[in-house]
Order: sequence, then structure tokens, then C-alpha cells
Amino acid sequence: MVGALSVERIDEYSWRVPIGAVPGMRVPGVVFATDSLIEKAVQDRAVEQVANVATLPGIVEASYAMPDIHWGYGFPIGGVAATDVEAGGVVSPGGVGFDIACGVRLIRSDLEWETEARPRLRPLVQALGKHVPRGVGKGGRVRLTAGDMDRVLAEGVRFPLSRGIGTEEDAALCEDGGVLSSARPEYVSDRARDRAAGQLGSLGGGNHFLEVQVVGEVVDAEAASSMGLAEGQVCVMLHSGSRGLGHQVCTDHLKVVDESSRRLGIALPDRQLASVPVEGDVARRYLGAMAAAANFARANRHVLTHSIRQSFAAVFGRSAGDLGMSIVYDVAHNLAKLEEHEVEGRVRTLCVHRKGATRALGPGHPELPDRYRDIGQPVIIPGSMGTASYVLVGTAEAGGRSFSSTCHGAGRAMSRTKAKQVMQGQALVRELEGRGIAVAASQPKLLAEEAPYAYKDVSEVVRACEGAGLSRTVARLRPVGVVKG
Amino acid sequence: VAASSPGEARFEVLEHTADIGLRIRASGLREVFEMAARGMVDILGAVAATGPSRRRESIAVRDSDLGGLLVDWLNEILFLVDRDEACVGEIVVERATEDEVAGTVEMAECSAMPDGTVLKAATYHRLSVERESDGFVATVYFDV
Repeated sequence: MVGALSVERIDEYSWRVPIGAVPGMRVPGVVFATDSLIEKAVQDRAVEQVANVATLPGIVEASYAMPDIHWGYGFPIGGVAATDVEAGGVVSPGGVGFDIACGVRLIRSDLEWETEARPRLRPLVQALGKHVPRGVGKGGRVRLTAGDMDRVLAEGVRFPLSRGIGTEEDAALCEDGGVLSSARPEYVSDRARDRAAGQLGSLGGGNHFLEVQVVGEVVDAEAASSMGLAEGQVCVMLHSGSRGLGHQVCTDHLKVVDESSRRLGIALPDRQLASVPVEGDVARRYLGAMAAAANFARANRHVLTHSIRQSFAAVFGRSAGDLGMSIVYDVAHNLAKLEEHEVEGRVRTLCVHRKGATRALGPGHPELPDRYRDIGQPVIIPGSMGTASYVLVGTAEAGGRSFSSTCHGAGRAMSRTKAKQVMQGQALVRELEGRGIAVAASQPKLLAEEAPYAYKDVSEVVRACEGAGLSRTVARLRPVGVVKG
Repeated sequence: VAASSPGEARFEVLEHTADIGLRIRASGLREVFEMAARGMVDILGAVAATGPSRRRESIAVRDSDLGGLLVDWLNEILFLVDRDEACVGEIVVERATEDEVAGTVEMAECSAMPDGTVLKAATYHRLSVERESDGFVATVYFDV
């Protein structure tokens, strides 16, 4: 028992929220966490949200939460819920969120930190700050015509590739090859298209960022080698999503889903959990638009990668190809996908929601690129600004424990208001610079919202994931440059 | 954390681990919607400075309940702010009933980049608009 809502220990790294913790639960909740992380999750009301998600029609096994769990809106952040499509299972847009297919991409390079990159760090971060559009609103790299927008929504990274941006290998090393074929651009409103017409190739604000990082420690040499990672090498980690397009797709469809949900008499403890059966027109339209927004998100990170490569090429006087700048992997942490999983001895089609959780396929999975077939899917875990980040790899065990899902980051521990009271943005910049981390922030005042002390310890989160069998650690990276909107 | 405006209606910023909320107290429905919009624009740091190049946008939303109306109204304004990279001046609610809100919002070029918290959308999470003896109390959370 911890706090107001009772949880039961299952083993060292997992906790059960029993059926009945809130009325209407159809399955138990299961939270993967250390003792201190579960304590925070209960205090934060996030465990209550795990229980709320367990009321979704058609949910199977359990309402899961990853170790970076914290209070969200409707779903907890870190929540994973799978519903059985054939058994009337639902899709809930709130289980994906407004930043559809927000995700992380890791770009490696051949640059050696101490000898090659360190002397050029400041100009590099300045170049990234200049070439990468960021902050609120538009100002992307590519202004899209109506026809272009249709192609981005349908083709994802294939559209910028057709314009000579990026390489075929970039697409191969992106989840789903960079394009979800289930996309239905016709269900994306004109308003969503208008909102994002100038935003392709822009970072955005909030917790989106890019960091120049150095591989600090390799834990699994074989997996690291498959990913082209070695100690002392320079990488870039990129965190961005579907920008205004995804926000508007969710806003538009959530309103319709909310109306349908109430008309169908689906009783839910939080209106933001509004949901409709996957096998219905309302869900079909939402899932088609969601997939189109996911394609926009992948294309967005693809175009951002181009800006990053150009910045490196300008600073080091060599082409991105010469610098060995290739993608390690690109994976989303806000998405719902129709996936096959075994439940109670039978393979079923499930609608797997991951809200602030990352798909983590184990070795041998047919959806993996050849390069990763033997080691499992790379999972990129950004820590809080200025701390460590991790590269993990999926496990076969996670298939049976969390529908092949693991954490997505450190997880917030403090509100934005409080974070700004602890330290002012400029002071935080000085603190980071004092530790040798170069910073380019378009709004330094806002930097404090994302300060390291506002987040949990990412190393503890990663340790909990490993302890629970959800993923294995491959490498730890440390930041040397931060670029923020 | 609280912020207030002169007169009866006021808003209060609500803490949330990842996101941010608003509680609005007002004597009438029109004031609820006006004050909610002002609170949201204040969080965004997108209050328009005085000056030329302003235009009025008409907004009309319909929903079956007051909570849904509040979310729709705020999301309409967010859409305009994001699409046009605009700041917001005067907000006037002309009509507010149980199933409809209509008003105008003055949009202006931002004199400086907005320096508030970036919001993606108003959500249904813990959403409420309650009638009390002396007016209304509304609660809404935003995705950051």
C-alpha cells in the first residue's frame, strides 16, 4: 500500500493496481517502477489514471504504465493500453495525444569528440540554432502547396526523399520505413493543413529539442556496434513531432469521438478518455487521419535531419556523408497501432495505445530492419536537458509483459510553474554553460520549464525498464550542446 | 499561482506535473468564456501590444454542453494563434448560451516572440463548468 490509492507489489520492478481501485475497471493496472518511482506515481495521481484507463471497453491483459509514468490528461504519460478489436475494443484519441507520433531520432557520426568536435562545439551549436527552425508557430524548411501536403500525409518520408532530401537508408531506419500506409489524408481537415502549411522541418517549442551528445559508455558492445556507436563519438538526438497538424487532427477528431462515445453510452471516469469501437466509421476516420499525422511527424524529423546535416557540413567543411552522419533509428512514443499479440493463448489484433511509451520489438521480429534483426529494435531515450540519455534495445520478454513497450524519457516530476520558480532561465543557461554544455535557446526564459530538476532520474527509469525485462541498455550518452525552441 | 484581472471575473493558473490548467470564476457565462480566453493567452505570453495591423476574427462554436463549448472556444483561438503566429488583443463574447458561444477576437502581429508556455490544445481532462449561487466556476486543462 502506498499513498491513497492502493498498489500491490508483484515483484521488484512491477506493481498491480487491483480491479476495483476505481469503479468499472475491466482489467488490473500494472505499473513498472522502482520503489521510489511508484511512490511518486501514486502521489502524482498518475496511478489513478492507470486505473481509469483500465475501464476502456475491450481492454486486455492490463492497463500498463512504464517507469517514467506521470500525471497526464486522461491517460497517464507512460501509459500502454491494448484493446481487442474483434471483441469491440475501442480506440481513444486521448491515448495518443495531441502531438501525434511525437518521437525521437538518433543520428550518429564518425566525429570523435575530444579531437574533432570539442574545438568546434560553439560554432556547431550556433549553426544548429541558425539552421534549424524552432520555437512556436511556423517557419519550417519547406513551405507546402496543397498537393505537397497531400503527399506528405500519404507518403511520409517518401515525399522529402522525392525532392532529394535525405537518403533511402534514412527511411529504412525509421519505424515503419517512415510511412504508415494506413494513412487517409482525406480525413485531415483543411484547418489542420492550414495550421501546419509552413511547419514542415521545424522543431517546435515545449519539451522538443535537439542535443549534440557524446557516447559516454557502451554497455552492450555487440548491439552498439550494429548501431554504429562507439565511446567518444558524436551523435545528435532529435525530439519533435507532428507540430500543429497533429494537434489539430486530434482536436478535430476528439470532438467527434467525444460525441459518439457519449451517444454510445460508453461510461468513462474522465471525458478525455472518450473512445469508440475500432470497427466503426468514426474510429476508421480517426485512425486514418492519425496515421497521416504520423507521416507528417516522420517527414518533419526527416527534414530536420537535413538541416542538422547541413549545419555539421558547414562547420566541419565536409559533407554529411563524409562525416558518417547516418540514422541509428527513429521511433514514435505517442501512437496507436493495430498489432498482432498473443492473449490467453490466441493471437489477436489489438489496438495498442502508447502515450509517452515506446514500441520496443525484440530480436527476430519481422518488422525490424535487417541490421537490427538479431539485436532487437533500438529505443532512444532522452534524459532531461543537460543530463544523460540512453540507447536501449527491445527484448523478446517485453512481448509478453507490456505488448513490446518500454519507457520514453525521464518523466516529469515537477510542474512548469514550480520549475520556473526554482531557477530563472538565464541562470540555468549559465549553469549548463558552466558544465561545458553549449546552449542555443530562442526563449531562455522558458528553458527553466524543462530544467533537469523538473524531471525524474532517467538512469533510475532505465534501470527499472531493464529490471522489468522491457528493454536492455546499450549505451549512455552525455550532452555537450542543447538547441531549444 | 494566481493571476487576476480587475472586476469580478478572474482566472487562476492550476499546477499540473506536465501540463497546465485554468480555473475561472465569473458572474455570467459570457465572462467565463472571455476570462478563460484571457487566461489562456496570458499563459501563452501572446498578449498583443497596442499598435496597428489588427484584425477581428469572428468565432462561433456549438456543442451540447458548456464544458464542450469551453474547449471548442479555446481551441478555436489556439488555432488562430498557431496558424498565424499571432498575438491576441481584445476578446469579446457576444453571445453565450448552453449550446452556443459567439464572439470576436482581435488578432495582431506579435511585437516580440511569445514568451509563455506553448499550448497544443484545451482538453476534456477534469473539465467542468459549474453554476454556483453567485455565478460560474470553470476548470480546464491544456496539453503543453
